[in-house]
Amino acid sequence: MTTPDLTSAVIPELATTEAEELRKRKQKIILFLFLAAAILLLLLLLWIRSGPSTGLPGIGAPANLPRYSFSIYGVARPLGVAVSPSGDRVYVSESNGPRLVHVFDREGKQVGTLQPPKATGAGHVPVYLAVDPLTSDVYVSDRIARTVYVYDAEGVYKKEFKPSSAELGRDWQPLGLAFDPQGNLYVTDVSGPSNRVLSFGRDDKRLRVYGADGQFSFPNGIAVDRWGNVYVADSNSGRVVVFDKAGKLVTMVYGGSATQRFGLPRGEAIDSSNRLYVVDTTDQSVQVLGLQDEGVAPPKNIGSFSGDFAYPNGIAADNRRVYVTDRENNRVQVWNR
Amino acid sequence: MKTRAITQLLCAILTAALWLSLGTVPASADNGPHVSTAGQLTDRCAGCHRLHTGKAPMLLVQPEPALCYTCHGAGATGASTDVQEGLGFGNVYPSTARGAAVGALRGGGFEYALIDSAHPAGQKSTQSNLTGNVPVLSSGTEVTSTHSIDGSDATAWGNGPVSTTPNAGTTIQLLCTSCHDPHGNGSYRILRPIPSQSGAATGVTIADATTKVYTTTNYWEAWDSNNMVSESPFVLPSAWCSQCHTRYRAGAGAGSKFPSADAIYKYRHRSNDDGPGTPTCVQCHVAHGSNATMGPYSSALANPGGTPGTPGDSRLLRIDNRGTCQMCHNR
Repeated sequence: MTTPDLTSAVIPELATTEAEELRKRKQKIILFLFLAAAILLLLLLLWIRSGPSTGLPGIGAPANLPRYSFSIYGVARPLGVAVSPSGDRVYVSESNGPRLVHVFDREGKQVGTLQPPKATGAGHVPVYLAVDPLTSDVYVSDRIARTVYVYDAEGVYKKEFKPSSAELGRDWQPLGLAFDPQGNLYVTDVSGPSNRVLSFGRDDKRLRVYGADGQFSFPNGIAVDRWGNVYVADSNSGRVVVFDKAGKLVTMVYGGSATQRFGLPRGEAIDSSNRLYVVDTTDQSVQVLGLQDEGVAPPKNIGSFSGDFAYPNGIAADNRRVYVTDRENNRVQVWNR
Repeated sequence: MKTRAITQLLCAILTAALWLSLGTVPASADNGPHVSTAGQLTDRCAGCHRLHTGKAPMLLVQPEPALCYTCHGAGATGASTDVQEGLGFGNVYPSTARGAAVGALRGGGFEYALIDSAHPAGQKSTQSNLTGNVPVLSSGTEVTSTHSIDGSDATAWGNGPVSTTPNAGTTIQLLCTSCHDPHGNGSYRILRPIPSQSGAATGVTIADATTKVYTTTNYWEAWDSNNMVSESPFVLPSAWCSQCHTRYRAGAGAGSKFPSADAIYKYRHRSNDDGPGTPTCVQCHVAHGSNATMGPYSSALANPGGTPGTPGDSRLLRIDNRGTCQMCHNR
């Protein structure tokens, strides 16, 4: 003989109350989840609106890509940028207006300008810059003047870096600049008959010529990693050409990934985390590649970022930030690493 | 039912948040200079075009002239010609002739030019002087007239047929690629046989030379001596320019004996280079921009048709004031 269920039979109101409570509980849970989702969405939208479109990394993308911080204005069509070893000075070349190199502090406030003395003549267009890691001297390439101007850390003009004809082998048109950790200077030369990359020691003597005849087509940016490998943005060939420290060709990189190939790679920089940044000026983005195994292994694609750029060109990196010249927007974008 | 509706709404919101959090996929890109020999599997198209996300007409990745200035702008980070500054960096082809010299571009520049327009030499009174000299400055000065290249409305003065009803010209929108073919075509300066919006039907092709010289040391030398082995006839530039400036092209007697029936362009200076020592368009004018300065009379000219001109507009002339006239007429 079974025991009848007296609960609902004898007290039908009790069963109804329990069902209703369960339904209300479910509604509360759903409402809570709804509110949580709405708050998350609101935060997301606020974050998006806080700066330029960042090409959000997307689900699964590395979280260590730079994040937009702010922009430095007051430059006309900037091309090149460099940052002092201490990070307290940012140097930016402009290709319009008075065509100066502007010097900013970390907050983006202008503290001075660099320009060659009148004795050097008129008609200058400063393009790329590099800072000597040992002396903090600032080197500025000027293709029209066919020379590299050198200023000290205080912005005082020092000299022209113009090796002798014997060192150069012919007259040159310097463009891209970079230093390795030992303070050797690397310069791209876009004069004919063949573009090339030259390296010079601390005594200004030529060390090496990179690239075979006809290999490069308007090489722009250069970067040297901690192992001495040299990365050349071979701009009009749409690639980065990699040499080892002995000057031997290692590999050619045609993009961050198989589906994201370079358009016109221009400025380059390597940060303390061994990441190579390559500015792609026609793709309006910066591609990020991971360097590994002392540079023997090919660079690995990490991702890319884009901040409403209008022809980005130059790039520089210090321990905390990445600086990108945004040419047609007349600004330098500052990204936090 | 209410629970189900809330659940569906929640799912919709979460889906939207998920969609918004996804980044845009960067467009693929490749690069390459202007060559007419792209193969079947070329990557060059993606250097300038985007099929679905173009920012400018013709599916360009970015508008002109900023796109062109990426290589041909100040600093010339990707080319041997800097058309903003009006500078050329040695010869381009053949590569063995390439050098490091920095010179003045024949066409001037769009922001600066190096025409020493204040110091012409060699004026004659023979109405036939193609051998004078206009030197080159050591550094550029700001231009006072240019061809428009930003795509804004501009007037193609004289464009159109002869008309007894006043018609100064046609409103067009000029870009770099209105005159130059960025895909390459083997022609002189990769000029299009028919400039965009010119309305021309036949086309004029100016053959290119093996050795190209983009710079000059004498701005009165109208022709590139590497292309034009003789001084005359030199009709092709006039034929090419007059595809836009139709009613400016004039032969012998057009300035006096044989006026046109046009209401505005009635008596016109000879420009057809159809006889020994006669001028062509580019004898007096540069193509990109001039830094010549104009005096009070020259500067106050009205446009064809009578609309007010722009003060200081040098109208692409090579010499200050009316020095261009004096080179041949020397009055």
